[in-house]
Amino acid sequence: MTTMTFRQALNDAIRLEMERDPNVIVLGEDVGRHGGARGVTRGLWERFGAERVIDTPISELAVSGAAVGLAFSGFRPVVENYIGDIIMFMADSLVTSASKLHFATGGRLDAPMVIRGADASRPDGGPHQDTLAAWFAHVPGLKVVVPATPADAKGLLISAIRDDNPVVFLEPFKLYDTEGPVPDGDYAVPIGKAEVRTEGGDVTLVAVGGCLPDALAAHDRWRKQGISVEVVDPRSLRPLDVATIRKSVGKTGRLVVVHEGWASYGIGSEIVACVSDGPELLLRAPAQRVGTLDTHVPASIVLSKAVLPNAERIDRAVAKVMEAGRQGAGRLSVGAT
Amino acid sequence: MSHERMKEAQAPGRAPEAGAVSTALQREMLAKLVLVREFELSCERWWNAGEPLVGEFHLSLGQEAFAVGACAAAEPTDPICPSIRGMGVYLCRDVPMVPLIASFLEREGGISGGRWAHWHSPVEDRNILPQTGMLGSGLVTAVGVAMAQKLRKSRRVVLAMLGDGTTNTGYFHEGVNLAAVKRLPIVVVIENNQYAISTPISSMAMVHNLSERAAGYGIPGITVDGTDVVAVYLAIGAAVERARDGGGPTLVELKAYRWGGQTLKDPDRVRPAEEKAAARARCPVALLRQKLAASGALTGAEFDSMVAQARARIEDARAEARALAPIAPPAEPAILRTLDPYAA
Repeated sequence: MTTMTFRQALNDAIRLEMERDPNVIVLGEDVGRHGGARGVTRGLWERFGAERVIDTPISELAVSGAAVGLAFSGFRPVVENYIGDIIMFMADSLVTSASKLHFATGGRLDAPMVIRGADASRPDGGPHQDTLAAWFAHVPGLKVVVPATPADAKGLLISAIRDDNPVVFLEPFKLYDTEGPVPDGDYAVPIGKAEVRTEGGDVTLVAVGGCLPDALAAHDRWRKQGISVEVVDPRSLRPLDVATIRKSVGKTGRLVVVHEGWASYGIGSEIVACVSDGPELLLRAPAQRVGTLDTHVPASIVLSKAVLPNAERIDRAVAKVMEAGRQGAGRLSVGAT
Repeated sequence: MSHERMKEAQAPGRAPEAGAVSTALQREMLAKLVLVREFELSCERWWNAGEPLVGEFHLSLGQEAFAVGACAAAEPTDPICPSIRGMGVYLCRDVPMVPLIASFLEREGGISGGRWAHWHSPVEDRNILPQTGMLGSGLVTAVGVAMAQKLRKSRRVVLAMLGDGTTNTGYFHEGVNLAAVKRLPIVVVIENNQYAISTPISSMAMVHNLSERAAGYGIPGITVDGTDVVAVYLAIGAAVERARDGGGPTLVELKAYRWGGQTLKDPDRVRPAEEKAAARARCPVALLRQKLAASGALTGAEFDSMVAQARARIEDARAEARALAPIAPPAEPAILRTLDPYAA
């Protein structure tokens, strides 16, 4: 176990996989000597050379498409997406080509590839603060992974590289410099398994990616008031570990989901639906979604904090489910906060 | 189309000597032209007779020499990504005809098992690459396959075929540039049949020949008469050789004219009738047949026999395909196992 940053953990994962499997290659803008847009590929070019750490033009259409061709030709390309919303340029390669290949060929061809890069809000404001996780989680054939701790960053990226399916691997921008203990050497975290971060009996708070620290802070605040919050980190959005989330809600009867990205038609909507779908009724209070407000993330840091999920809105949602639950409301309903 | 343009296009920069192509190969290519022609005429006939055919039929009548010349110029082991008008590639790469027709008829055993459109489906043992419905996506995928060949030092060359309209996509620009800067073993073949559905390429591109765009990527470009299969073969052959020797990509533009509509569903009302009629004067089959006949390398009876053989093959395959069981959907949830989108 070594203490390292989220960024270093990602680097460790790629380096180990490149050492283990000569078919793993890295592509992207500035991934070579520059070490990647966020420093994740630092040292890989020096270690593995320009044949396996391939600098590309600013050509997301071509690079993501080429990754599909490389993938069904036997390579395992790890493509760096420069920053969150730029993945829109890769959407056709992911959705129309990569996600369909296994299905369309009856499994004769697969597209084992990873598109990874910074996602969601940045701590320093500006443009490019979106997360489009829900777009890609919508698509059968894709896997979507959002780690929230350095250990998961490593373990999930190793699993993503080994996966025979195309994986969209989203690295919450604001977590790159967070530190944590990371297991040494080969360490794979299975995709599709949620993790209960804090045990609690009153409210289930499902927190995605960069919202995990906020959820843990909410847990501490509410504990002082005698409310125990069970924080669940889904870690992968597709496949989603519905069983773990339902098990938690089965205990608490109350559900709040917090994530970046719009609540409307969003990740939270899907999680709430998966809990509500049954087989048995679990909720005793209207489930709450805390997402990015239905507008765009402003460049100003001050303004963006009001639009993004924040402590105030999380607390309001927790208070709401506690209030409704106390009144004994047994109706199954959904609200947005 | 402007026939002036076509004539100018026949004066390529550096086409090798036609004399280098043996009579035997020319006869082989003629047989393939006849096969593609007869197969697509059959599709048209079945369609017009109300046969329930699945999907789109982007026929290549009038431009059969694109696929025939390209497939003759490359090794069978060279991966090829057909354009959406790529039936000829499947036929020239000897994809068995029964599974091909079975896919039209929604029978079991079709090349895509009913999962993917027949004109998008890869055929691995014929080195035919997959493509999707997005124009240009086949090119960038093929660029990745070319990158794989280079990394593996396989000495295989990738052929990516695409239409004139596709040269206006972002995929084309990014794909050709990426292939160029990485010096990848790929030949990009522009099938210029003058129209994107009803829109003349001359109204959507300011260059006279689309191969001129090669200059913007710092790679060679060449335009040849795409009704002359020998010229197609030589131009693509030279580009393949160059790519195999590590010289990087070439843009090869083949000019011809699409005789029919965009697909069999297209009433083709916009293109001028006189233009369509004039284009039929440059028939790739007739041109080679006449040339071989003039040099005494082909008798009328031999040609008739080529046609008869092709027709018999097609009819036999059709009969066999029709006898196959219709595709039956499994019940839910079994259908999700059959049509599983995920690799285990």
